[in-house]
Amino acid sequence: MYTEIIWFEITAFIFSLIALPKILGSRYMRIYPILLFIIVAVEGYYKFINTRYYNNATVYNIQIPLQYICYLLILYFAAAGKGLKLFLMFAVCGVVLFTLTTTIYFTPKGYSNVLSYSFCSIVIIIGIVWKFYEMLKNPLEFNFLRNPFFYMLFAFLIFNLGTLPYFTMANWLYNNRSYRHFYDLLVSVMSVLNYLLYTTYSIAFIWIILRKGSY
Amino acid sequence: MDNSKEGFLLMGTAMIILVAIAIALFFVMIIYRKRKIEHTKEVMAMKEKYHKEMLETQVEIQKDTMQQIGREIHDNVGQKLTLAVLYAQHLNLKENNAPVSEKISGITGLINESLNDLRDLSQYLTQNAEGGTSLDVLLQKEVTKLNKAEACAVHFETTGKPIELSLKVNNMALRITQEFLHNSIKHSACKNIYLRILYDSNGVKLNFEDDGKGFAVDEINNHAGIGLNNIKKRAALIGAELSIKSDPLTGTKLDLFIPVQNII
Repeated sequence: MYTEIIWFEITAFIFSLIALPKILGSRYMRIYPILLFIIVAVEGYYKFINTRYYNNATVYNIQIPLQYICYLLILYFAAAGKGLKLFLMFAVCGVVLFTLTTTIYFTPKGYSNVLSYSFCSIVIIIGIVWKFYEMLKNPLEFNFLRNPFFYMLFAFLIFNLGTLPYFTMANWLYNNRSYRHFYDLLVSVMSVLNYLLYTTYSIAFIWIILRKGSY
Repeated sequence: MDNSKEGFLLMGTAMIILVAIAIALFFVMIIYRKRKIEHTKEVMAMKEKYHKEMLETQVEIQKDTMQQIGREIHDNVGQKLTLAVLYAQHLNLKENNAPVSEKISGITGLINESLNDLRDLSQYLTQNAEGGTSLDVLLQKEVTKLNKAEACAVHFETTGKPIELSLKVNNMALRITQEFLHNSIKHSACKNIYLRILYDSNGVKLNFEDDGKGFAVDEINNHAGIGLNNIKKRAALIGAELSIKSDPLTGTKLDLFIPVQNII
């Protein structure tokens, strides 16, 4: 089931490129195409170019923190309050330092850096919830329900909360192949969350494309 | 159950619970937003009510003060001037010297003139729309008075079936009209003033217009004088829609619409 995720990622990336003229003026929305390019480039490489199976944990140990830094930057540019901006600034520094430290000292070769993933995930969850709180402050002036960015953040929040246990236990899962049906079930849930995330991105970009005026 | 199975189950449960939390957060946000909007609207309504009450008090105080001044002029200064005229006339009767008598007559004439002006002023200050007197009648009186003064020609017309206005609305409409007339005569150097009242099923429309030199509305809005402020306050007080347009070439136009629900 997870092998099809790439198509959803590619679709989201294509729509982000189509929406580019409209999102170029937004400091945070224009980061999405870059982010999706990183994801599509890595996943596409393993899907279409390097099709031989081998352990690609090292690549993911670089790609995933990079991806999270992009998300933190998106939130940073979207944030209105000083408190959230400061938090996100420290979060970016924290992610870089934590990832470097855990990769060098706590991650054996060939293993995923689950500590970095968990840290990034928790930081982004806090950031998104904080941003939601900001969005709720002036409901008369700003209706978040009509803002595509809200749904993009919300889909990413669900993705993070849902996949946090899965990715935190990635090394254990990799080495524990017993109870195949349980394992398949978890992979299915993780895949569904991926479908949901990239479908939301695609719909949000279509929404932006069809909307009048720039984002 | 062995450790592996337990681990899988734990992970699966955690994933489901966390996703459920995220979905619950979405609904909490929607409910919170709805309540916050309701609360904000309530606060705004309270503020508006408070503002309206403040305006009412302000206008009430202003009205009382004007009436008190008017009464003082009529009862005190007016009486004294009348007495002065009487003394002067009495003195004139006793005086045989023709040039002096002529001067006394001049003084008497001046005092009488001042007395008339003071009476007009007193009447203006104490004037209030009385129950049963329609806005048309009140405005007609104003028009007649101004036309007599010959400062400029005031034209008045009414369209539609007159609606009986409440005392408060009548008073406010009269004061707004007086303020407009006063401003036009004093500042615009106009030749004509047009007053139109249009009654229809939606409410009452008052259209006032002059052909004077006009003013820059934005500039006046930024440094609004007492007169314009009073017009705005009074319009707000009766829930009327007010529009003031002015142009140096075409003069000033004031449109006031009092919706039917605010009339009674």
